[in-house]
Amino acid sequence: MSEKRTFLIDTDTASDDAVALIMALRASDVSVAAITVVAGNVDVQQATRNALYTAELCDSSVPIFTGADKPLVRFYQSATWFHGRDGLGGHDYPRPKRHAERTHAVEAIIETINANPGLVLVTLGPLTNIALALSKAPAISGKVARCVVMGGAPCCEGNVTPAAEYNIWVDPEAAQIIFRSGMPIELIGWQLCRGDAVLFESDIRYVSSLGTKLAHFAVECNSHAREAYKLQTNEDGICLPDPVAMCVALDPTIATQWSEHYVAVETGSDLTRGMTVVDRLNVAGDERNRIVWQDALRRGGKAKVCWSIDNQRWKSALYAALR
Amino acid sequence: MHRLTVTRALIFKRSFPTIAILIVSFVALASAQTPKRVIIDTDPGVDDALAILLALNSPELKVEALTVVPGNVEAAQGLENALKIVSLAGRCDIAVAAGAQHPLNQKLITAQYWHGKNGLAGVELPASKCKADVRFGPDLIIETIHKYPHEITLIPVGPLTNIALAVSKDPSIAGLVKDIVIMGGSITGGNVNGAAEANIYNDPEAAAIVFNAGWMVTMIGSDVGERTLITRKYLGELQALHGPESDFVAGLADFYLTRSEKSGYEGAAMYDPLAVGTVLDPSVVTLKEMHVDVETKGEFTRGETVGNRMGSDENNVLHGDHYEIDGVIPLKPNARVCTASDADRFLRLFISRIKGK
Repeated sequence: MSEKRTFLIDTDTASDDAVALIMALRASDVSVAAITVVAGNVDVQQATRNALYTAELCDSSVPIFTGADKPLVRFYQSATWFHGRDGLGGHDYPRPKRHAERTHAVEAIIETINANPGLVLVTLGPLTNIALALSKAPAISGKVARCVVMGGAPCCEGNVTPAAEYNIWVDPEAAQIIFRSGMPIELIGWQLCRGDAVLFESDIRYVSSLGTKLAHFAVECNSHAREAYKLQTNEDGICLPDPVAMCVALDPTIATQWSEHYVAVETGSDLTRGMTVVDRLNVAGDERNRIVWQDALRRGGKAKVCWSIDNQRWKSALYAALR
Repeated sequence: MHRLTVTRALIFKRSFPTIAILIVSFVALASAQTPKRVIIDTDPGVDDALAILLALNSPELKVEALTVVPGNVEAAQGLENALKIVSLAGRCDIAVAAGAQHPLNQKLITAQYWHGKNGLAGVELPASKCKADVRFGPDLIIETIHKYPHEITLIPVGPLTNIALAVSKDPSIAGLVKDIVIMGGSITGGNVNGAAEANIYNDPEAAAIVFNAGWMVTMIGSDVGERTLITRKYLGELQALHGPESDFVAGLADFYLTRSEKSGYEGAAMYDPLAVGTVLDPSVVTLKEMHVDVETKGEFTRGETVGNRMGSDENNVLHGDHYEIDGVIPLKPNARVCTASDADRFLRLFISRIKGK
């Protein structure tokens, strides 16, 4: 039996984040060293409460740390329109018994990475906390084995604007800092949760039939998100981008197509704010491009972009975590 | 009874002026003796060094800490310079802490071109007797503000990276400082290029964070700094009396003047010292409240501090195929922008504090 892998998870705990947290907390070969919370889908106090509640459901005493209450430069805009007013479908879950730790999330991120070199960092929300941590301790980028980012819309439409996915859109300057940091990024775009990765009616019934409190919670807290997704895309079912990212973090073989490219984040445009521009043809170094892409080229860090996953295996992994 | 009252009255009449003088003196002494606590965030830098020494030689100020930001020089050089300056002044009691290592979202632009190869006119000061504080500059700023609520005046005279990191981590400090007086920006043209002043240009995102943090930023811009010049005349006065600090200042000023004269200027701009001067004596500057935005996107204007002199934006309302102006939208000021300085009075203040030290 091999040693446990250590995970550090940064989240803006809404309905799909909660399911992702469950997957990590229930993985027998993973030790979640800390959960750090950022403002995003919901405000940072609500997100902290949601994380504490989810941990309680999993009987986990993982320390939880509150972080940034707004993006670096941008005016904060939540996504309660998608996830419900409390981020968990508006079901008024009881107040958790535990409290967040007193240390700021930024300190927790730096200390946890320094204490656990080679850990897996999984980001499920806007990248504000990570950007602040890197600004204080740039060396942490070299101590992380993998930085699995749920975010972006690589070479496809966005989910909050036509150009961008929410996590990157809400704090593009923070995202830009991460993509230029040299962190070993695996980009899990929101589009991977769509199509056959969506939990259809039959899948939802199967999950409910598992009969566990976690299975019940996973479906119920996503009730608002399910309706919002239908309005947005006319696809019926529950789309779970954060759990898909967590699934890949837990088992990279779930991803069936990867390739490495420079990724740059647009911060200057209103139209394409937060767009994750992927150098899919690997031409950033060409004469036409090298000035515009110089910051990416200088760092020499390409991100691993995931293009497709095995949807069957993703769903099986989800069910196993909720059983 | 009457006699007693008269006697009392007489005693009171004689002693009243004395008592009054004592009371007034006590109050004056008390306020004179309660120095303003300041933190200087700096990228030393020739004019930074002048500003720091002005602060250290002003009894009205208590310098709680220097926090170092990359700007004129890289972070490591800046820290070394700051430590050497406090050591020269015999002030190892002041906390000197390193901060950010580079601007938030772009590559650093250093300015040895203007400040000499080590940022201090190439002058080699003796090794510092002081040790750097181990704390991270932005955290030290946060701690000190909480330790002395409503007492700390922040004086950032470099790029705003550290201040942005501090207020991003702890937004409550915006309501807990006494004041924030920056050297940076300009509402009438830049010094780096047509639009931008160097500190803001070096980290426009940080500047945007600082101007939008909810406090009133007193902005001593380069457009006034460049009209507050140290000239050969003032340098001569400085050189008249000797002391380790004033000799160092004279050396820096001589280099700075020569460099400025080579570029066609009459004197050397006292950018950073004027920010400290404003904290010492606000009457050396004229300030106008206005709303300032920091441009982060413009091809020609990235890093510009856009000041709205009129205090409002025109309200454009769509009427069919065109817009029509329907009144104005007033803007809430977020800054007190310096529009003029009493250069002569400030230079005299500066010289008087430094000469002979």
